[in-house]
Amino acid sequence: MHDLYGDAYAMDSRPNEEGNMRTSRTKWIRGVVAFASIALVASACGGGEGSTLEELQESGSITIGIANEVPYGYVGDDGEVTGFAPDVARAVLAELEITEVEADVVEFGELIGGLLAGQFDLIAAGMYINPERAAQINFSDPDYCTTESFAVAAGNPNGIVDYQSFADNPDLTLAVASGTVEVGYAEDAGIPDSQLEVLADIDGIFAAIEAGEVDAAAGTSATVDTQVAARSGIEAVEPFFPKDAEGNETLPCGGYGFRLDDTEFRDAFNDQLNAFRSDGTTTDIITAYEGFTDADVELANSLTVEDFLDE
Amino acid sequence: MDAWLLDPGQYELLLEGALITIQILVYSFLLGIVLSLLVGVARLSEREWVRGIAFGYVELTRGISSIVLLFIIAIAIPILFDVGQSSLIALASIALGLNMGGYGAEIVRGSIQAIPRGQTEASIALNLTPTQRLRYIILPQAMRIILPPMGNLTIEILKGTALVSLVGVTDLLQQTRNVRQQQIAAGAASTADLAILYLNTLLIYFVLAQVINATFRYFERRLERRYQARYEPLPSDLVAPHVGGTAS
Repeated sequence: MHDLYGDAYAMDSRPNEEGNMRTSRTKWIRGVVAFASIALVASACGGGEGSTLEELQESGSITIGIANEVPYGYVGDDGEVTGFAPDVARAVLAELEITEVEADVVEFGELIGGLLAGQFDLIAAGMYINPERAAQINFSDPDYCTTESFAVAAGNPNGIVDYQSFADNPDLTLAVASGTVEVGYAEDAGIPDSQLEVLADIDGIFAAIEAGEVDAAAGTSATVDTQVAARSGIEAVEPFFPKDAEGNETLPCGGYGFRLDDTEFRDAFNDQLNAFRSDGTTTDIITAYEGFTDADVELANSLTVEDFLDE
Repeated sequence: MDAWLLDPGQYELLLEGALITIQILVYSFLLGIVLSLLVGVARLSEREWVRGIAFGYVELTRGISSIVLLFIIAIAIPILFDVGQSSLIALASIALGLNMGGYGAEIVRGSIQAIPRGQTEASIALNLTPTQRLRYIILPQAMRIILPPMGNLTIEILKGTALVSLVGVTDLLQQTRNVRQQQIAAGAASTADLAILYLNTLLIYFVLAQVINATFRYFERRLERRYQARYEPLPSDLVAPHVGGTAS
């Protein structure tokens, strides 16, 4: 910067247009390369090794990821995270001598990204187990099963029954939340994109049906029931089991998510979860929340994660 | 709809979120302002490679949407390089700060170029070093031009902080969504409840923006006063004595 001004003005008055363009292109490329290498170097440092389970047990604390979805997980009136998934996770983790459980409440679609990026070490959001997700994360065995439902306008004027209703009637639109299984169910049923509103968060799709922007909003029965009870002018359709692309009924059952390389942590968690599944602890915790029955938990108890991945 | 106010517990959540929002704003502002000055001056450097890096930085950070930059820094880089998110707030602030630096650098460059060339020539004549020229002659004058748009940009960044809720930071917007789920759990989730909740959030953002606004105006006025005080009247100004105390 010996000649701050001289140079600035020289740049303005360069006579040769073409020459100017060429230098600015080289400059641009050089700048990008330099900037990228700085970013790479900055990001390459860090990353201590060691098993996640050991680290967690040593510190006795963990951060878990919760979806912002009543009744699975949400911030209660006292400011503490509540919901059945974090409750079960806390009980299991306590047995593993991880007693300080901090919960990050994020939107559902952010859960897997946050887990992989290390924001939290466990997803406790009642996330359904399916092969697509299992390719990205490890699951525990399921601790509950549920049914799917739609929120529709009061009286169900369009006679919506299940996903097939939308494939049959091109005038109907359906709202689903980004990153949820409902997006996949809709695709499996052959609902074209033009009839599908994929919104960013779960609350948004129910706001959309309440406002009449769409003809239905899809979610688990528990979610739909809670949302319908809290809003006016909408009702829930008869719960149903969604079908896969081949037309077979699938089981919507949810478990806990771990990073693929955290198998040790996943196995330890799963062993303890299974102990709780057989002695009735999970039944007690889960059925304490409205919308879940003993049968929902018993069905899950008869299944392991492998049952969901073979198909 | 019973009232325009939320529960005390819900306000507590919103304020907790607002504190995170302020924290991210302060961090990204500090990073952004440093980058703005460094890169803005580097854009006018006589060394081509310095100008090249500065130019590349400005075009990259201005050209990438801040939400994408946020995902790259807070989610993609930790996954790709297995570095872990040591502090999500820090990563989010870096992303927003980089973004602000890109815009701010152009403000700084424009302001420096707006200072009459004679100022530089005079300071060269006074045998000041380039650093002295920048430090004592150019930047103090450029600051008057920099401040107003920089205040604008800071308010932009305040509003940009709402994006961090999308990468999992529990800021003001995310706390608003959390409160929303509380309303649903409590069975009170009419459109009016939603509107009131977001009106409260809106008010908090508005107040924060006014604080930024006032802070910048304070510094603008202080700078202006200093500038005025150094103004020595020319002999021709002294011909007519001052009457009302209003200096021309």
